[in-house]
Amino acid sequence: MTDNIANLKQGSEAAFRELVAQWQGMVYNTALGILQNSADAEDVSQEVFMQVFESIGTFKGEAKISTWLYRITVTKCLDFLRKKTRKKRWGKVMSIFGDQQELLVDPPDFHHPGVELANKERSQLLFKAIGRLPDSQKAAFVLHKLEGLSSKEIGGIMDASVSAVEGLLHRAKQNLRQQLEKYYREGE
Amino acid sequence: MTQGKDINREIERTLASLDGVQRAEPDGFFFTRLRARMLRKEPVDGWDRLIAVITRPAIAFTAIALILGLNGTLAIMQWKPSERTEQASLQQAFADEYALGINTFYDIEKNDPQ
Repeated sequence: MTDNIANLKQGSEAAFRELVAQWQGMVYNTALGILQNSADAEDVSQEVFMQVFESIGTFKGEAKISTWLYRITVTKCLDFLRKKTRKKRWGKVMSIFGDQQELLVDPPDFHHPGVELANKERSQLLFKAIGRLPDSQKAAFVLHKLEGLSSKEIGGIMDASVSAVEGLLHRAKQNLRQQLEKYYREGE
Repeated sequence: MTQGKDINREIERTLASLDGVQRAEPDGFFFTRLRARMLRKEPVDGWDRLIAVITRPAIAFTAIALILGLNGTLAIMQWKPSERTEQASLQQAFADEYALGINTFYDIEKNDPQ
């Protein structure tokens, strides 16, 4: 892999193709978990690899390539969500003045293709709740649940200590529990 | 109480619904689409960069505030009404004294009774 990075730094197309083939699943799965939309996840995944291609020269190899890729993916996903929220707000403002062009509609419930059919409905409910978590809790929870990363690995990606990540995960679970409890109580 | 236990069980089962989830993969030919997008991406020229910078809210508002401030300062510096009036009356008195207001031959004829 080190040779591949060295070749990529030289601008090798084959090395870039190999890197994409190796990591596309990881990048896409993380983006899909955070964005909960396959088209947006593909879009952001492409942006991640474009940035990798442009800034591979700055990668010094101090962190693992996977940590570097996760970091770029999470940052790009959260930026994408912020932009989308801004667009939504702007669309609402414009709709007051009669311009409907910018109005974004929330997509229907998201279904992750890797979830077993038996868990489909429950996972849809859980993803909806994940979507309402604060950014850092959302990122930590997705990396933990969908990518199976440890608190230490998540800390490396999010530039936080292990205890800080554990705190984030604990708060994320608490928030999810509250949301689910409200849902089930109202459904009675 | 039973209902509470049921709800807790539902919550736990829902939280566990992502356990053992398979990794999602992008659609086929991801690399082809990626390369196509990279080729499509046009290099950003100087004008685009300049416009992007000056349209940032922080920079745009600071520039407007600076221009307004500069305008206000200049207006205050140049606006001295009492001095101007005094100067204008002195000029008028000087003009009256030496008949500087006369600028046509007819006016000279009219002022001179001969």
